[in-house]
Amino acid sequence: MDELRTIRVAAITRVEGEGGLSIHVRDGAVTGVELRIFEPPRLFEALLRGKALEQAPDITARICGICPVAYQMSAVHALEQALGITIPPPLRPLRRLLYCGEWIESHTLHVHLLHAPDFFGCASGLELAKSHPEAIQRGLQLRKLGNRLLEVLGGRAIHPVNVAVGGFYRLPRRTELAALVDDFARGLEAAEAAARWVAAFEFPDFEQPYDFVSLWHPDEYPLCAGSLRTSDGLLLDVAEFEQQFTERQVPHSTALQAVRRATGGTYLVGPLARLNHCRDQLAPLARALADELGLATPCCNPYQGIVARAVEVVHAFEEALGILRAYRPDSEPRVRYEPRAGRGCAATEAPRGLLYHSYEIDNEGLITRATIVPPTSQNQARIEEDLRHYLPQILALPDDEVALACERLVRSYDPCISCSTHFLKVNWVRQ
Amino acid sequence: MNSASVLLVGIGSAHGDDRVGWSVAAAVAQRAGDQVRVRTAAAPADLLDWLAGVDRLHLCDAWLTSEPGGQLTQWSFPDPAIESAGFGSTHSLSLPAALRLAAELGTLPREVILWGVSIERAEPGAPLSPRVAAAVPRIAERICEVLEYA
Repeated sequence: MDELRTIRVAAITRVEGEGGLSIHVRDGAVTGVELRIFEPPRLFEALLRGKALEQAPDITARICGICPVAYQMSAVHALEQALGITIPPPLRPLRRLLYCGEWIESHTLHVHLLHAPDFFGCASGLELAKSHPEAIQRGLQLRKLGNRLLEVLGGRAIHPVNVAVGGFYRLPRRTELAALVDDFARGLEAAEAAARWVAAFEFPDFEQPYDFVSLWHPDEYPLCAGSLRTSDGLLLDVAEFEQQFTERQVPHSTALQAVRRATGGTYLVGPLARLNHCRDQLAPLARALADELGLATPCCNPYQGIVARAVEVVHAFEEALGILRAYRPDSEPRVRYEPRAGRGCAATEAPRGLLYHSYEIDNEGLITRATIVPPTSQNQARIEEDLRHYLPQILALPDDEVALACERLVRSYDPCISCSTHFLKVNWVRQ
Repeated sequence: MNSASVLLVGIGSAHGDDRVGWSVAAAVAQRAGDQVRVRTAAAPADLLDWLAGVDRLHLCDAWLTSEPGGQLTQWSFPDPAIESAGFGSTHSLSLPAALRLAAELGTLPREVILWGVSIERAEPGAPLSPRVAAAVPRIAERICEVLEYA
């Protein structure tokens, strides 16, 4: 007789946004895994049509309160390509600095309050704070430093307002950035301590042959620029993104799922992908720390994403400190331009992975088409595939323990569900 | 009153009546002088850095409710009513969560009083509404009374 078993996680906790999970088992075999993203579609791509291109950074920043800088960065780089302009060289490190602030803020939140509780059997960051107050306080301090960078450079920590097409609206005074140096030097030490704490966690034995996808740059750890790199050896211009990757809609999710166009295969973006492709480009202290922690590549255990994240926080502090010390405000805040019709695309590395934007603009500088592919959309199908491979190891457990173990695996990818639900594809059936 | 152990924090933003926490904090600072340490915060999580040595923590925040603007409500933390009153946050730790976290970290002061000021709306960049602005002196006076005589 067929035995049906359905395990449901009504709402996955400690992730950004609203999603659930359904697991279908027949006669002891997994027959279906659905990462159900039921957060309402947010329709940003349609919202952008007809808007002035200057509005794109601030509109797209509203997609996420945790990683607004990522949206601003992908938007301005894509639009600058469409306009045929290049920002003055002194502004480039400032954009990286702003991004460092976001990585610090986002990664430390996930590491300490969202993900670390799983390794201690705690139901929440609050519960972990009771048993590990020093570690949580350190995490809060690190996050605050990330927010301070966003405030100084972006105007405010949540949805910064200072990023402009062509540069920035206002450049910080030298004294504003110099005032952060001592705190960031202490923050770098604290970030190293946090990474050592995280690396000592006990990680479940689970590895997958991931097709990692990230930006890659010969001279720097990827943030704002680089080529698309895949685990099967492709090194592509970002302009080829839409030829290589495609999105599909599934019935159980309001977010699209991205796959490799040629094979239909899933892939993984995010800290593990970056670390695997770009370990040599880590800043010296971060690279030495990765060596010390035994964080070798290839690293294909998704639970160790928390270590990759913690090492990236060290990198972000190290790079930020260098930029803060070297900063001289000797540039115009932004390059001027005349609107012209064109198309541009760009990918940058959001905390959770590759974030692709593409725009078409008309002669008046109005947006006529926008495409946004966020990291969680790209990881969603891979998360489901990982769950299908992981479940046979734990199916003998009671339903509630299976559900909890699956939630823990999902959290290891740091999904941002709010980001992923920006699109709704409507199929019209006319009779 | 030991001024070093009393902290009043006004929580708010620059958007309409959501700034009432900041306005009340400024009015208390003007009225109480050095007797009360006064700070303003945009995010409740900021509190977590300011609690060392604090014995009495008073917080003033806007409270979006159906009541007319400018009404004052007082809670003592912990109180389930605070959790359900709508002091949430879509982007960061909510005020109740920040206080619970401080409790778990062992840094929560002996006395925690939350003063909620009812507001009806918070428009981006707008000034305080006349009704809420008119209530600020009375609210500051009430808080000073409690701080002085409790």
